[in-house]
Amino acid sequence: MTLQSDLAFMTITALREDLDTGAVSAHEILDAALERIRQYESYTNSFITLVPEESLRKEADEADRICKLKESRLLTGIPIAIKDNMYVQGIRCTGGSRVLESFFPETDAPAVERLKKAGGIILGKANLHEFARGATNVNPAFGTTHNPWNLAHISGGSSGGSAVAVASGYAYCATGTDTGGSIRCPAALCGIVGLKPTYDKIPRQGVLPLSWSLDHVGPMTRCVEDAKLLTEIMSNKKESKSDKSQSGLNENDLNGIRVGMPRKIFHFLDSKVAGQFEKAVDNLREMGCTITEVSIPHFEFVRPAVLAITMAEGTSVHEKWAKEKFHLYSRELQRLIEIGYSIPATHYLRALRFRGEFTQSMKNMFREVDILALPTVPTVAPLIGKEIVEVGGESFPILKAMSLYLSMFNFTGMPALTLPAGFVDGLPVALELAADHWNEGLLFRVGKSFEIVRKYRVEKPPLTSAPQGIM
Amino acid sequence: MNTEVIQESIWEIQKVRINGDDSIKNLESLLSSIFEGLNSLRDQVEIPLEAEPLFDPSKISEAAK
Repeated sequence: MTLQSDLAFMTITALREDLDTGAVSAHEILDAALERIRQYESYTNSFITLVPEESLRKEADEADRICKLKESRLLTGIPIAIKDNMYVQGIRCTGGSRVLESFFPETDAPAVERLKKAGGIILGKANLHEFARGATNVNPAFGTTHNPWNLAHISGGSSGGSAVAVASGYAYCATGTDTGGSIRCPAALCGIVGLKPTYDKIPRQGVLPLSWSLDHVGPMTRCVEDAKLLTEIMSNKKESKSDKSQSGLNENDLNGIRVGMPRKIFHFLDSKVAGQFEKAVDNLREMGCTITEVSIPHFEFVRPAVLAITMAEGTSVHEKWAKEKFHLYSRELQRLIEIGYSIPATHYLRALRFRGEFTQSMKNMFREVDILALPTVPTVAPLIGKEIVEVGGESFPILKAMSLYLSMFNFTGMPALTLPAGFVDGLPVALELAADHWNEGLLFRVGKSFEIVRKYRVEKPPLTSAPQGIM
Repeated sequence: MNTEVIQESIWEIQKVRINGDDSIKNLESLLSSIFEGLNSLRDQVEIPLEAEPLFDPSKISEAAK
C-alpha cells in the first residue's frame, strides 16, 4: 500500500496507470494533496485561492466514476494548481495584486479549458509576484511564498506559488507564465521541472499580460514526461519524437547530439552551483552528447533590450488601472509603471529591431549545435529580503541575477527546459537546456535521458515542523 | 537635437522620484541598464536599416519551420 505522503509525491505518468487499474482512486489522490496542504500550506503560502473541499470532492467522485467506466482521459483525477494570472471561470483571478482582488473571470483561459477537458481537477490559484513582475514572490498583497527546501529562502518567481505547490506535494502539476524566466527560476529554486515553450505554442489568451511580446505559458511538473504531457494538452498538439534537426535518430539514442556551452557568459556563477553544473554536463557526455564551446554574440545587450520592452509594454498594460487605482499597487509596482512611461519609443523600437538580429544569430548558432546547456540560475535560492546577490566579489540586483541565463530565450521565443540537477547546501540546483524554435521534442528527449542517467526520483522537501521566526 | 540630453533628463527626473524610496533599491541600476545598454547597442552594433521591429518571434521561427 502506498503511504499517503508518498502518494502526494507521485508523478502524473505513474498515477495514470494506478488510477486506470483501480490501484488508487481520485479520492485517495485528493486526500493526499489536501492532507499536505492542511499540514504545510500555512508555512509555504503557495495559494491565493483554494477551491472549496466540497467542490473538489464532487470532481473526485466524477473522476472515480469515469475511471471505473474505463473512460478516463489524460488528467482524470489529477489535482492541478493554476497560476493566479490565468483565468479560471468563476474563480477569483487577482494577478497577485489588490488591484484585481474582486475580479472573477467569466471564461477559462484556453490553456486552462484544455486541462479541464483532459480531466484535471483545479485545486486552486497559485501565489505569484505582483502581476508577475518580479523574481522573488515577496508579495505585499497576499504574502510571501516560502521555499519548501528552506522556508527562510525565496521560492523564486514569478510563478513561485506554482513551483512550491508542486514541490511540496500539494498539486501534481501547475501552470506558470514566463516573461523573463518566471517559470524556470522558481522551478529551479524549488527542485522541479519547468518548460518555457516556443512563443505562442501555448495560447496566451485569458492570461493577464505582463509584456505581450515576451509572455509565454508553460507547465511546471515533477518530471520531464509530465512536462511533455501538459505541453501537449495545453498546446493541443502531440510532440513528435524526432524533429527536423534530429531525423533518423533513435528516441533513446543521444549519440551525436551536439550540445553548445556558452561558457564566456558564465562569469557570474556561484562556485558550488558551477560544480553541480559541470557534473550535469558530464552526464550529458555519458549520454553520448558531444559538448562544444559556443559564443553568444551581443549577449550583453539582451538584458537592456528585454528591460526596455518589458517596461514599455508593461506600463501600457496597466495604463487604465494605474489611472484609476494607482494607490492599490505596491510601491514596487508603482515605480515600475512610472519607469515604463520614461522609456522613449525610439529605445523600445531599437530593442525590437535588435531582437530580430539577435534571434537570427541564435538560429544560425542552432545550425552548429542542437541544444544549449546552461545553469538555470547562477546561485541557489537567496534568503528572503535579500536585494543584492553576491558571487565571487561581484554584486547583481536580485532580478538580474535570477534572470541572467533565462530572458534571452524570451527575447528569441525559443524553448527552454529546466531540470533538477542536484543540491547545494540543501537547496536545489538546476540545468537549463534550450533549443531552436519548435524543438521541444528534442528537449524532452534529452531531458528524459538526463533523468535516467541521474537516476532521478522525486525528492520530498523537509517540511516537517513549523519554521521559527519567519511566519 | 542632442538626444543624450533628453535621455539624461528623463533619467534625472526618475532618480529624483526614487530618491529616498527604498521600494526598489535597485531602480537606478535598472534605469542605467536600459539607457546605457541601449545607447551602447546603438553605437556598437550595426543593425541594418531594413531590420524591422520584431514583435512576434514565432514569425521568424515560422519562416524556418
